Amino acid sequence: MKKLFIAILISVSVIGLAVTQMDINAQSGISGTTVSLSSEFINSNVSIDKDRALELFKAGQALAFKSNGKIYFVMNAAGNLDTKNLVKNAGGDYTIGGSVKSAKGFNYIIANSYN
Amino acid sequence: MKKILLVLLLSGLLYACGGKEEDKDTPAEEAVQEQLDSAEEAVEEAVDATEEATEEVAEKVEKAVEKAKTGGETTKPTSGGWTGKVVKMTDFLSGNYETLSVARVKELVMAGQYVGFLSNGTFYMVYNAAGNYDWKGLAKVADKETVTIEGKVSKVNGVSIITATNIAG
Repeated sequence: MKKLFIAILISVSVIGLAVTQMDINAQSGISGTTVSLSSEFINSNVSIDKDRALELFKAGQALAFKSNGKIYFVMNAAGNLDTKNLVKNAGGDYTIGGSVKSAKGFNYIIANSYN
Repeated sequence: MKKILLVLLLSGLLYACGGKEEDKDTPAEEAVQEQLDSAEEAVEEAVDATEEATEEVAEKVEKAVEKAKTGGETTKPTSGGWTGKVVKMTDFLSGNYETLSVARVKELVMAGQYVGFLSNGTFYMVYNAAGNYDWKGLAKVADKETVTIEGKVSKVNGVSIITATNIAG
């Protein structure tokens, strides 16, 4: 019984850890805003408009998509980061359609539409 | 369950002997007493083993939760630095790594394709002390097989970052 108890607890722990590492196709669309990673890292939470996003893009500063407090990198179907569409839609809330995934410690979206 | 059964057995035996001191010296009572002693020892052993197992499992769960939160890396500043390699972010996801150079990194970043630092299986975005994405620092060592970065590792909203104080190839 003791062994069974330990086995169950270890199994639950391992499964929980595995779930955090595996690919998750969670939802088909997700709403949020374009953010500057620098601002997020220093917790300034400054919203950026399209001009500022373009300025950051030209300076090579990283942009990402933030939804419900979580940061996502956005990729296109070809597997490249879709930073240009983050710039294009910056300045307000929008919805990205596609696959939301989590793998290798990354949260990312393979986008197929922007609304 | 085993513990409960042993406690029930113990209770049953106690009830059976009635706890009378005058019957203590009879052979039957001695046998019962031996059984009681054995049962008590078994209960104590079971309790000890359960406590040890519980502590062990709790420790494993704590480690697993910490690993899940941080991606397996510490959030403390480093003294010796992290060793790894400069890689393209999307290559990290696909597993097919492109050979990088200073010029190629600049080309990628200007096209909105980011590079980072891969160390011990974790991809880090690298920032300088001023809080800017330090792709230029990474570009300088992009062609090196082994890169060492000193700084502070942390995780912000799911993204692993290194705030670098030194990048060396």
